[in-house]
Amino acid sequence: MQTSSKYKAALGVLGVLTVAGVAAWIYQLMNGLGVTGMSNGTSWGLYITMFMLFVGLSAGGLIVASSASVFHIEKFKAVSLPAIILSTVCICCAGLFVLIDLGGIQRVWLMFIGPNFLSPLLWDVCVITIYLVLNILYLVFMTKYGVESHQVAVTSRFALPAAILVHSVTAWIFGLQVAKEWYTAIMAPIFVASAMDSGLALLLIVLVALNAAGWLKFSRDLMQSLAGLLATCIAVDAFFIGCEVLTMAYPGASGAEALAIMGAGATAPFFWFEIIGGLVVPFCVLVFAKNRANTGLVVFSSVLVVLGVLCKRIWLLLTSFVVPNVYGAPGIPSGSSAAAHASGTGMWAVTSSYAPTWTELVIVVGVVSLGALAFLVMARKLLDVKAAPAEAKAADDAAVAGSAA
Amino acid sequence: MGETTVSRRGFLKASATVGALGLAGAAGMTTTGGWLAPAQANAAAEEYVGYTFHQNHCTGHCSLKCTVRDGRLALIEPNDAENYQKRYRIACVRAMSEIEHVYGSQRIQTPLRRVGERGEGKFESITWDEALADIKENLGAIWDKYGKSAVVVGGTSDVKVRYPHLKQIFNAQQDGRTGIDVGVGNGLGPMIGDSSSFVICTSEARDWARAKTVILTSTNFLESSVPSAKTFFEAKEAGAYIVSVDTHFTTTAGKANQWVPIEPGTDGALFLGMVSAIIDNEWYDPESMKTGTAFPFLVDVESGTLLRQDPATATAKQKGSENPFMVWDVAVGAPVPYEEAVDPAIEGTFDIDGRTYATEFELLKESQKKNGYTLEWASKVTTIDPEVIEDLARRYACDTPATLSLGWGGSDKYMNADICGHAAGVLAALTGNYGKPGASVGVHVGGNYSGWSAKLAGWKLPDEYKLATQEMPSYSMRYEDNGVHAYIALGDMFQQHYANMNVTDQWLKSLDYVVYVDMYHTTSADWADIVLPACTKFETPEECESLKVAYGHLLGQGKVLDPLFDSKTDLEIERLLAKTMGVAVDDLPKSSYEFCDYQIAKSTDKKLADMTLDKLLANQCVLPLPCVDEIREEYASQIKNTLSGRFDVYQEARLGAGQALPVYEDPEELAPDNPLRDTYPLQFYQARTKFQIHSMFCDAAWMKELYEPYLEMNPQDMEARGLEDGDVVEVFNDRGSMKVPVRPSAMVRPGSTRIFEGLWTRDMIEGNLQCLTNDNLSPRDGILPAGTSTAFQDTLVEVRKA
Amino acid sequence: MTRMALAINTERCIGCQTCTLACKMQNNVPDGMLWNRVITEGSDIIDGAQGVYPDLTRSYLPIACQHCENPACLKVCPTGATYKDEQGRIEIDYDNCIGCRMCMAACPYNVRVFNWSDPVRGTGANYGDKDVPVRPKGVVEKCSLCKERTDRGQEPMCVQNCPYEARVFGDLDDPDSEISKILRTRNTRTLLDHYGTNPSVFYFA
Repeated sequence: MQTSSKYKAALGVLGVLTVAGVAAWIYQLMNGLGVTGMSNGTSWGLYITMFMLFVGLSAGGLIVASSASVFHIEKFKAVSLPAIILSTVCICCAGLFVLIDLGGIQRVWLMFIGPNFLSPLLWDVCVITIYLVLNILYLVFMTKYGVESHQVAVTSRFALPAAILVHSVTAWIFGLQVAKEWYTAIMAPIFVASAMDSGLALLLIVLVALNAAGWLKFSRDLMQSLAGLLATCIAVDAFFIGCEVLTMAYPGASGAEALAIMGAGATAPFFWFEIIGGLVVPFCVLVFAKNRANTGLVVFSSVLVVLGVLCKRIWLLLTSFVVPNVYGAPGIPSGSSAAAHASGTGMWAVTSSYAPTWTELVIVVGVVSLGALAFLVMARKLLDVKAAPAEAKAADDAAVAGSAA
Repeated sequence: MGETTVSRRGFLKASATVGALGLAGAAGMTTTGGWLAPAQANAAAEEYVGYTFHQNHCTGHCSLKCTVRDGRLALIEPNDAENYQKRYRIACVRAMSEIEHVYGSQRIQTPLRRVGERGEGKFESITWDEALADIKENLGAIWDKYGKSAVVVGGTSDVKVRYPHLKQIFNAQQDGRTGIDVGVGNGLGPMIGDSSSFVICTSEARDWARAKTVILTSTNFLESSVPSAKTFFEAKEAGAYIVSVDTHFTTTAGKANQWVPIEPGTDGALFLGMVSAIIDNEWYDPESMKTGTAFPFLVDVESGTLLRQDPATATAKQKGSENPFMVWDVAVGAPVPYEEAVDPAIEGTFDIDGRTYATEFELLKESQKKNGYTLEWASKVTTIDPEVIEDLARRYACDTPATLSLGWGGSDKYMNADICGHAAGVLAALTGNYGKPGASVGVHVGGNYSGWSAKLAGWKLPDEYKLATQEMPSYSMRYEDNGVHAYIALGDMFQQHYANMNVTDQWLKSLDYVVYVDMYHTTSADWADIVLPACTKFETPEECESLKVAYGHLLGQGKVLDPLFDSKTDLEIERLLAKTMGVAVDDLPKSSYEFCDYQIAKSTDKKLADMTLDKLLANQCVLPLPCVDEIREEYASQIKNTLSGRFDVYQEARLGAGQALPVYEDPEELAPDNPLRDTYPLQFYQARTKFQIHSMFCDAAWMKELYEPYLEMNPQDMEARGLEDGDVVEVFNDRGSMKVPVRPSAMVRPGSTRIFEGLWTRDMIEGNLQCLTNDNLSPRDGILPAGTSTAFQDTLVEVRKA
Repeated sequence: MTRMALAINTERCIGCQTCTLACKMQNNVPDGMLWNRVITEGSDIIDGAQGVYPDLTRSYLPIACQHCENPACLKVCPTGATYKDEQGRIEIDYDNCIGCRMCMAACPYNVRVFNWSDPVRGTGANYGDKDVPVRPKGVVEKCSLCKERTDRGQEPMCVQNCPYEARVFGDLDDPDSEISKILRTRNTRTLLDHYGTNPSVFYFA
């Protein structure tokens, strides 16, 4: 392993960040969620945003891997293993974000002994658990019996619908809430579409990186196919969002109010970044076959797509919290950490705002670092890293470099 | 204290630390047992119930049922004694806030001694013995040097009533002639026989439900009179048409059938416009004018004096019974004493013995004409449409019975308040809207004053304990030479009673000694040399601490809590002060229980005949007076106290000021032609609020969650000054300034600013609202029955970004 | 059957906030949190008015849990900590609440408050009804329709203490109750009725 020292350094840095995140989480457990920027008005924040994002990110891997088996797309099989590792790690991160967001994590077992089957959150916990089990099975079967095995083929037939379901159910946590702007039938399709584009984008970034590290041979041909698929997914995602925005705007009624917040209000930077940076630009880049062969442009577009989807999670979640349905001073008891330290009328919020605190940011960095750490460790262990011939890697590097020129 | 000295600030810090520890304890309580502990109730705790009564300031005296758990207030509810009717069972937002306020951060916990400059607000905590020794030394020195009359004992209504003996046993001056709440009464009082000038209405507000029209002028009754405000809705639901005439769109204006926005300080012009409309349309009631009012009385047109049966010995203050007024009896075609006339003329001019006499009504008509009090004129002054004024006049005169309710917070506090009161009286006299069900004129605030009451026996003190003669009105004491060297203030006297605080400050700094007694460290406390901590109405070591007869009930302040901190009960403080100064040591009641028992047992009031202290305590500290179910209608009997025994319209005592009949005068500073308006174009209006009673509850933490001081301005006035919501502004005029955040509110009249009265300096960014207020004397100071009524609202300011 | 409900006469409501603090007191609600509050509808400032002087209107809206017949919060609770009891009240079993705040996102009325931190009480001690459970950090709480009082046959504290008798508590399933009469004879409305939550809190004027 040529990059052993770099690998160790990476593990070290990620380890430190993870420890910092754990420390911040312990701090949060001791002091309550008041250490976050959330409030009674904006009762969900960065954790739930990251939960949505990571559920989506895990999609790319599983969809590519299981498509390889289900639809017999042979060239995908080369990256099935890293794809499924990525998928597993992302869904674990997503689950962690939900647990971290709980005010009473010590009572979480109550969900299993006295579940309320009407709750989309419960559905989501079940579906994510199934999804995680399938990922792990997939991983086990693939490493034990190989990518061509019957076990993998069977698992992938379950994995694909489970992937669609996990995004839909996550969408329904929001999309079934009648009193919020989330209440729209297109929420599940949007979640599936953005899961596919962000998931694929992340997979592309990771595969290019693995290739660069020499852990894996990621052919330009495969990159082009995946990038093409990504362009399609972006287009579908953009179409769904266009449908939703038009439906909100056209009647000029209450939806238009939320649209005003998205278009020109508190969540506007996120909305516009997603539309332009997350959809328009990467699509315009990837729609051309020539660009899809250019590693630099593919990575650039992929990064934009992931950031765009992150921005989408942010505006999607937060816009609905800004203006209470029943509006009027003094507003709602804020409950925010700022309000808790304010005396008097500082306790109120007529409209709600949110910004993550350092604690939240450190915890999020910690979870992401833990995910990256897990990915590195698993990838190194499960990918046959040593077998990757140095020459092949060099040749491939040259090929990729050539395409970039 | 020995060698250790703690500044007030340091002292507060120490108590804050204690408070923080308390919080930590509370937090611990909720987490004890760790994460997995179930949410527990306080089931094991020890509870008992006590009864007391609440505020005197709002006059509610609401009887409260208080649940105490582990020695701390847990619940405050309306008293549920069976015969305490639902109407009186009130525990309003202010009562709720007492759960915290009783333990609040601004409670005076121990006696304090001033350590900084007077007024600076720096104190050290001392013992009672040290405080009393200080008082003995300093007050004693003043007594020795200047005599006992060099001391004033004065206070605000909620606190001073609880020290009934102090000023007598100290032979002190009292704070009479305070210039508070007597503005409209200065004009209306003599017309209806109210010598107090508070012009409190009886009929009480319960009577509104029998009216067809109720006109409230510049009174935010729903907020200033919460305990009796239910009557407003009862009247509305019974079909009364309620009109709120107010500068701002107050809560009351918002709930009335009609809001009539008016230029501040011009209520009198509205009334005079209505008078003209009533005369021109002949909507007046000649029958009641003839028999119930002084309208037929003959006035010497040239001299302006009323014609008496014996003109030679007549004086302006002579009663009609001593020297009858003369009227022109149409039946005999000659002047006759007013009580003997068969058919008195209300109109006309008559030549009698070579002199010309006109009836009061005739003069009123002339005055209205001569002065040009047309609807158009009234409209110009008040900015109300002439049609609206005429419609108001029609409603008041024709949709009867009608009530005219004046309040103390608005029209009362302009320099022309007496004229306003006078004009209101003319309206009532013209239309017969007084002394009958559904018809009354005056102030309805506070069920205590206007509802049924009874007289408790006063403690008999030896004759030597008498008040000293008051040298001058309290407000004049601040700037005129006088013999006062010490002030014992009971409650937030200095902020609440005096306008123009910078003058007050100079005066207080010139005094030799100031003692302050109160429950809370108000703005006034900061001028004291010695501060004594008093118990709230929730605290006493005895079974019964004090009594009150109010709003139709005998009420007891029973035991809820033991005295908190180092505070003492009022009677105990009186006794300690008496003992310290060596006066009346054996002449005061030995215990509060003894005093309460005495007050009931020795009362000669028939309404209390069947009551005893034991019965009161057995009935949860509340006993209804026998007459409580009837609406109190003593108004007519009050009119018997006027000079003529009728509704007096023409006021000879005001002749010298050209005001025998109301002649409109602009408010002083707010006058449209006042050149000061160029520099200070905005009115400074202090409003009443449900969140406070004067300066009480400013410090209640639960209330502060609902309201913290800010100045309200109309958005257009803010825009013109480049101000934004939340900006800190300086409000200023030639008298002084204050700093406070500003907020836009459409309910505020453009050209006016609005803030709640009573706010403490501590809660402002800088200054106090009384630094701005107008303390000028009335141009009619000499002839006003209660002297100048401080024109707090007659104040101009400008606002700029601080 | 019993369906406990509230009717609020907004004509009689002057926004005095007695119900706000009565509720806080009775239910030992910590500082910075409230189960019940009175808003000045559509206004950015408490006791403000809508419109341009002098064309102004003002209306107050006391708002707390609406005890919906079809509660959005109840369905989404993963543990069933939020439940509807036999009297039609929506209650929270605090011991079952995992603090996911799904109910807060679902409730259309913003009437649920979360214990973001350890509860703080400026009084330094618990107050209120001795039977009311003390809630720890990490759980959601809201108006219980004064469960402890109404179980004892008393009115909720906000009803008892309203100085204007603007609030009526009663049983909708009892045709002779005052509240049933109000529903029959007055024009009542419920908040955000287009969401179909079917509240048990009725407003009339």
